[in-house]
Amino acid sequence: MKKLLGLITLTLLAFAFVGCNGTTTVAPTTQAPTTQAPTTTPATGFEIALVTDVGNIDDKSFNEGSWNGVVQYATEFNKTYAYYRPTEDSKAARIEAMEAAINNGAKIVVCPGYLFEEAIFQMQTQYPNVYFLLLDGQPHSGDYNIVTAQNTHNVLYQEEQAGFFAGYAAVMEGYRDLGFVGGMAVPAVVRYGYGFVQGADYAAAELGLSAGAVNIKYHYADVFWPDTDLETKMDIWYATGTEVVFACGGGLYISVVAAAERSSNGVVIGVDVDQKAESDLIITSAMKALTLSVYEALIEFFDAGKTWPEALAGETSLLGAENDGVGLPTNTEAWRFENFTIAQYEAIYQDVIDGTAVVSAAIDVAPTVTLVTVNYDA
Amino acid sequence: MFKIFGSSSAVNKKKQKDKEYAFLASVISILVGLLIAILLLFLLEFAKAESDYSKPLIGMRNYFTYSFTSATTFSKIFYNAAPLMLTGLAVGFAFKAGLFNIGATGQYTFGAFFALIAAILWQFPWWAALLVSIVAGAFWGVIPGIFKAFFNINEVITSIMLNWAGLYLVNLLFYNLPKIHTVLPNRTDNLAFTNPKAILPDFGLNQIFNTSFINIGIIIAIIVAVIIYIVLEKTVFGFEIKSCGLNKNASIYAGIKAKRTIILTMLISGGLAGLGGGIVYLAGTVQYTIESSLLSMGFSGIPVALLAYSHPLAIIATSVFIGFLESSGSGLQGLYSYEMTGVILSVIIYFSAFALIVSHFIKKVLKRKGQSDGDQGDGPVIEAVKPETDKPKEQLETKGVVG
Amino acid sequence: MDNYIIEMNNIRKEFPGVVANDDVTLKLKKGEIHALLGENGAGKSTLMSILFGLYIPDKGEIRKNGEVVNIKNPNDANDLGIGMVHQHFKLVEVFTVLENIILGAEPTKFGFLTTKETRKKVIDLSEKFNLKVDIDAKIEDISVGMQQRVEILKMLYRENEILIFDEPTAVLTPQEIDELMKIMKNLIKEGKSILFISHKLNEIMSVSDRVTVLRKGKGIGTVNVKDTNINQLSEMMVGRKIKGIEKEKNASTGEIILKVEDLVVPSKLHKNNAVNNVSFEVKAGEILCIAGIEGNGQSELVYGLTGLEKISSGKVTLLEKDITHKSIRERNLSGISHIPEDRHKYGLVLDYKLEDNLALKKYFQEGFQNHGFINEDMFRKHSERLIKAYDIRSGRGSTTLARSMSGGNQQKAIIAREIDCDSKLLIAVQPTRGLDVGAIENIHRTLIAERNKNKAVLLVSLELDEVLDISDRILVMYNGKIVAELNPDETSYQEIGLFMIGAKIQDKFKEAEVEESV
Repeated sequence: MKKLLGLITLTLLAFAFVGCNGTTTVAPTTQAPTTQAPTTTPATGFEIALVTDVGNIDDKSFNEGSWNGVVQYATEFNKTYAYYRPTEDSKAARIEAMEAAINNGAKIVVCPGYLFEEAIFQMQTQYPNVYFLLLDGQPHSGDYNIVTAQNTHNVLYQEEQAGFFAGYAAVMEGYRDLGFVGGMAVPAVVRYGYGFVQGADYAAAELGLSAGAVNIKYHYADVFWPDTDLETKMDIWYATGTEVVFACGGGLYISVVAAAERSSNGVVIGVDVDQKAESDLIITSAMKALTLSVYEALIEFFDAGKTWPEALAGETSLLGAENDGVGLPTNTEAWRFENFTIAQYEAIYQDVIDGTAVVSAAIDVAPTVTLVTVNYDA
Repeated sequence: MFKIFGSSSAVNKKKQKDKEYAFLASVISILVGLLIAILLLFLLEFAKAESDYSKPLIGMRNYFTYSFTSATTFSKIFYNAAPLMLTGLAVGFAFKAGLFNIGATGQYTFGAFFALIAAILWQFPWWAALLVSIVAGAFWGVIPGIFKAFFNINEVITSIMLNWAGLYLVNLLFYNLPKIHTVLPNRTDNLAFTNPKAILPDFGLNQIFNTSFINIGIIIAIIVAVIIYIVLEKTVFGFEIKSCGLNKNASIYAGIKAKRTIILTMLISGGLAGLGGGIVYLAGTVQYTIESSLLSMGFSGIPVALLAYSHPLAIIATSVFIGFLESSGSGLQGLYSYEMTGVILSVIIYFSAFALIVSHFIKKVLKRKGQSDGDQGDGPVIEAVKPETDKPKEQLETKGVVG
Repeated sequence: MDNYIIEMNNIRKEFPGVVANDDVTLKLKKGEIHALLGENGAGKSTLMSILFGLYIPDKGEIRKNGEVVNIKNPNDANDLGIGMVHQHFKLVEVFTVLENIILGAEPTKFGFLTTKETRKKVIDLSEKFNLKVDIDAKIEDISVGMQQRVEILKMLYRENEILIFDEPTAVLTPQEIDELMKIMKNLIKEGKSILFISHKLNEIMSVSDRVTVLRKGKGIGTVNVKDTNINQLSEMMVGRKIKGIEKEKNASTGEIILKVEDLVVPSKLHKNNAVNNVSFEVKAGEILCIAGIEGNGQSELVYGLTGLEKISSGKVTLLEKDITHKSIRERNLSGISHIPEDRHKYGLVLDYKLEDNLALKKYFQEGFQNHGFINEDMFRKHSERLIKAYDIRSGRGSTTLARSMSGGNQQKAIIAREIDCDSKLLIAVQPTRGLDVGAIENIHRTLIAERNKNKAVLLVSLELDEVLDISDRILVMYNGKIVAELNPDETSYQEIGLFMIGAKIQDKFKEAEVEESV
């Protein structure tokens, strides 16, 4: 009995230490991108560092999108780079990881996600000679009084515009029964969702549909990862007529895709990055140009002599359609629409830029719509 | 099985020697684990297109120096060790009573969440919130105990199920207690804003050393370990627990109420795990976020207890050791991916678990050597009692040799 | 020289701290029954384990038919034609007899089991050697005697020619022992050679040709059975003369200590009651012995009395106090001491130190504990006192792990603990099982001494010698009921045997049965 117990527990050791450290499930087939700088030995350190929020750099989402920007810049301009993952989901652990990066020679630390707001608030004053790029957030001490120091640059995205394009495209393609699943009602996710609703409404008006012709089911899953409850819910949605679901929140798209694959003709819209490779059923993705914005910010940083240029130092950029900050993927593999054309997409993109189509960024109240019916309790 | 080796010989030195062997064996095992880990890193390099063989060495150097580079990294050792110690004690304490509390993670989660409820909703001070975490963990731990005692349902099965039940119950509570997460929808409010009194005291040390990982959690954990040691070794209750663990039938025969002992053991074990949860979430660092998989801390207690042979004082050492390995993992980052640190940690712990085998090996080798040297260390049987009567002097033989 | 089938020359085997075999030589002639005699701990089992490949000797050589052989594991032994019937049978309970016999040597065709020919072979073997077995019965359903025959068949099926029997009679009834003796003689006739381990002298005298005696790991000598006698053998085995036990009948019995009325204890194995309406009394100053074949309710009766198992009806009165529904501890404290049947399962916490085991019934009492804290000094003092008084020998005295003590000393420790409780009733279940002559004698003396101190002793025993030797009154149990009450001075081996196997029931117990069925 004791021996058996020993055996079982020994086996558990493996799980206890290898399996359980992260909260996100890492797809086993994907290789973590290499961290090795090709030209320099590790001893000299890594100039560009990225610290992940909680997940890993292969999360098909925020971390990965930002990391790709780092890799793209660093390989092109021959810089050393590395990524760091905090040991736990806390400000303290993020600070520890950032300090590890700085001790390894980081000149600039890329921090994807609003979870870094409080950590950067502290670090920007503690390390005035190190520079920080904060994506999707602005530093504060926990009280939401934004203080951005000169060595920090923030990037925010107009998610509502990305959502708008997704909703517009779905209705233009011919879908009438839409769904939205958000991770949680955090501002970014809400903007995506409300934008999606507005886009669908705008398209319905353009197509001259009657009121109630387009229906949207709207739901927050309260998780940012795959979830069996959510999967069941998606099965029901697809079974009861939902044609396309905008899966908006970290890894939860896995559950939505799984349900879509079981359904007769359901499809999915991805989020944040181009998720076309995840499934053939992902007809498009409401993207933030994470890779591009990291890449461009790094160019600015190094061009200014390893410092933020005046326009960026202590400033927050709000990226939208105007500066190619958001949008749908238009390359041929990613364009999976049959009816909706790239020309139509470019037209609406232009409308958003010049203000013909107005997308509200308000998140306090649901957007006013004229034609679509939205069920916020779906 | 191994008792064959652990018997006979009245020489008191032998006991001392056994301890030396055990220590030596642990050190050797850890070193072997390290060697394998380095070998693994070299293999990894070998497999790469552009091999850089200095990388593993630098990596391992960083690994072992990292924890001593700053107050943050150093205090992280004990920050990690405190909950490991408590979950290790939870598992080890139950082991002593012959119970396998694999439900420590559920009890840990329960303790953690109720500590936060106490801290955020009820505005309790830290010590009161810790007491709540003990009660919550104990509550979740005693359930499998009751099932085991009264219905003889294996505690492993019940506690595995209760792990998930506990996790989802906590998630459910989380949703239904909106006041606990007013700032962000998926994580509990920062204690620094809602109730600074509930954060474990650090006596200003965090301020001085500019870190967040110092708190009295480790001191509490060590005190608890000592208390558990006293309970197990010096009290009647501990005597009964160990007795039940070693031989339930004989304990019942001797009049010990085995059911009561089982229930109390699980109650205490659960309380220990719950306290572990409280200590982590009242540190003021992590906030509880909705979890969809079991928290690993409860499971980490298992190797901590196993490496220490469930001995409460040894658990202090093993948890600090594993806390050190975990903390050091960050030293590899940059050079190696985060997952690699997990691999190295596992390899080292795996080999530490082989200490038992190694210690027998050492004994064998030393014995062989001793024979050729004419050393009588393991010498012949020395009887404790001189033969006074004409009765045959019984020769001691080990069980299993003579049936 | 050449007619030895097996020679074990100058074997030495050492375990840490113990020399189990020291320069032992054993020579087995072809076609003989060779007994290996020695007390527990003399090294018999080690020697046989070496021959069977379970241990590798440190020194010495083994020859078969004059050639040196190297036996590294039981498979090597099997290839050399050496088979062994272990004291504790190695059978798969849920397999049938046939399946157990072929296990490990399954005949297969294209990977499928082919039992047809095997079946015939096994049946032929069992007829040839007169080994009656029910070939399709499951092991768990057959008697111990038949299980032993299955073990013998296993060896024969593998065409072993050297058969080792490790204490084969320990688990058998007198009738089954006779049967076994016949089988062994039969096997010799068919050309097998037998090594027979025992410490029962009369068995050895009756069945074997030669005997080798071991004492404390050393070979004392080999003698022809027809040239020796029991006294000489026992002297060789123990190293001194054995005195018989003088029973000295107790003059008078006193008041009733234990009264059992219509006790019913359910069985854990089957639906019927293990103990069925049993009533009896034990008086101060007598040894009441409950005899019977194993598994006829004796164990459950004791469990019912001591509280280890719940009884379904009946009444137990101890010293005029109703203890039917009292807890185990309350019973102990009101005056029951219990030497349990299985000293490893119930009697001792094997991984506890001797001093802890000795305190197992007292640790909670004032003095042993103080406000819930254990008084280690008291434990030690108590243990030292008992060790001295009862001559318990162990490697490290009070701090020895019970596991590392010899069986005899383990039993001494239990007896010391139980008798030290000074209870009015002492229940002893098979207190001498598996012990050697010296230890048995010692225990018998102790039981009689307790009786002479006007205690009541309830002895449950399977050994008829013991029953006849030391009891004042005998109850025979069969199938959960008492079938006879006998006076040891007026009954015989054979008579008790008949009651034990249920062939006879005394009239007064028959009536009770009729009444019950009405």
